Amino acid sequence: MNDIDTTLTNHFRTRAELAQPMPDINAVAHGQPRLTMPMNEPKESTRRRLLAAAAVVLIAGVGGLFWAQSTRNEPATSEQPELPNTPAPASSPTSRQLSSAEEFGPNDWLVATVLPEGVSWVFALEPTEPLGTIRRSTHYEDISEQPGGPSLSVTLTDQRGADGARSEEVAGVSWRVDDTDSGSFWGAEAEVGGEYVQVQASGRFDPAVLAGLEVVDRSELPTVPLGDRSQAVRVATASTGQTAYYEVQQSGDHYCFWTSNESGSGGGCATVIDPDAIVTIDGGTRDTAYGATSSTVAIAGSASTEVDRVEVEFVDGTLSEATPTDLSGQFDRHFWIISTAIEHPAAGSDGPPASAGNVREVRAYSQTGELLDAVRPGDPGSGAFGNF
Amino acid sequence: MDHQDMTRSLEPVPLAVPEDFRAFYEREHAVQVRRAFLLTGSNEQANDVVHDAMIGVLNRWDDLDSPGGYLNRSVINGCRNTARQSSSRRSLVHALRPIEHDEPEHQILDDAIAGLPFNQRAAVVLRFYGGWTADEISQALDCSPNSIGPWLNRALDTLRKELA
Repeated sequence: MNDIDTTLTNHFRTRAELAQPMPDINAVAHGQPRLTMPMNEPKESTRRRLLAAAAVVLIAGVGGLFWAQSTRNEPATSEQPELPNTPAPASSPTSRQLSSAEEFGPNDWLVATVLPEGVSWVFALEPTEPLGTIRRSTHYEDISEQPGGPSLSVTLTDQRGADGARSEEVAGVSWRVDDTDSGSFWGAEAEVGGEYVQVQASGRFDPAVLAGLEVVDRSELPTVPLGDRSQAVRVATASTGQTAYYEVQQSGDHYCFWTSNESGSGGGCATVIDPDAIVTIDGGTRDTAYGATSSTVAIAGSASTEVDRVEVEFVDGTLSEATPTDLSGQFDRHFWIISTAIEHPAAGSDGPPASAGNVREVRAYSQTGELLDAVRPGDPGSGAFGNF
Repeated sequence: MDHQDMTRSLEPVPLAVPEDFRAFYEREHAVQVRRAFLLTGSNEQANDVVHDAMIGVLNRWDDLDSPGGYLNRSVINGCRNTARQSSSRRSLVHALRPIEHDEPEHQILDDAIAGLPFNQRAAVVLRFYGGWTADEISQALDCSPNSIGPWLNRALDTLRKELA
């Protein structure tokens, strides 16, 4: 047998090969939690508990306020999209290979037809962006295996990304490629028709993925894109306190959420709800007048059907409660929203810092008053990060 | 009115990070995750720890004289906290065992290393995987360099017995 030093060195080298670095500098830049998927879960649970994929929706401010006021107390607005089986998109009669001469129309999307092994279609995303920014993306993941498996995203946007480390021409298109991360992750960007095509994938750089990109019409996507608020359904309204409501859009296992109250609205996309969670915290907004020590907050989440009442304890000790509902009748879970004013204990002369938390704890009670669960932002499975 | 959206929002607007931080991130990320993986036995925990540590580095980017050293300490501390929170040693062992046809020696070492107190485990990983000196290990663990030798000796004694 080798001496212990050599044995350990070899052992750690072998084990280190099992590490799966999953860089996400975007989330770091925004101080956001990393996208996660718990390990060692049964297949279906793992899939459903994938907490986030990649996408942003920011819908806030005056426009949201007007929208909130004009639609308050309206019934759910649309049917939930069908949830088809989601194979990788195949070439359709109207699809065409991406070329350097492409001129993208408003309904054009990019899909990958050459996928890393084990990867399949997950969702499309078209968040409502400020100032008409274009961002249409399609996402592919290995949802049947351990986390950190292969993934791929293809984005069409009018916002240039980072410079690549080198240039490479693939199928007549000039790409800037960054594959400097030791084969664990690569990205590529091409300027085509005045827009930018961005590809991000795990594993080693594979030009076949770029060569296999095709332009398809929106109607040919395997699932309805997430992020379209007209596809959302109202699932809950505030039962106490201020008027507020909660809307959800679903595509496969992924959801978008929108909360609205008298101050405005906000939302987020591409989240997966843990179907086994008794109560989760999924979204919220906070409005604070300049210099004020109090804010109007809207907090929303989901609950299992056994939950009769959700009680939220805010950082200032304020207690508010909500009755979880599914006004749409389309989901296996119920949803709740609370809107109220709270004081920020840590507020300075300029008001509370942006990182100040709002929620101390969320408690779920049964019809008989039994405490079923209590979660705090940052708890595993709570759905919310630490300073929520 | 300052309106903040607290919903998990996932894909970001174009990046606004310093270019030198980007280079730092690209250089350090995979290395740190591998090291954290050896300490936690979990890819998820390792990536989470490094991610949080990177956020801390970025927040202090302009003030740090040695971002690499700060990152090392943050990652080790994150791994230590994770180890405290781990429900059992068993979960560490199982997380390290996805390989089929694994050699028995590796399995024995997985169990034995996972059972070491955190400081001993960290010292062993940093010494034999990272090739760090006692001074470097002590800086990352925020302890006296004199502690490292005894920790390594105790750990190696334990591991030798397990392998015997």
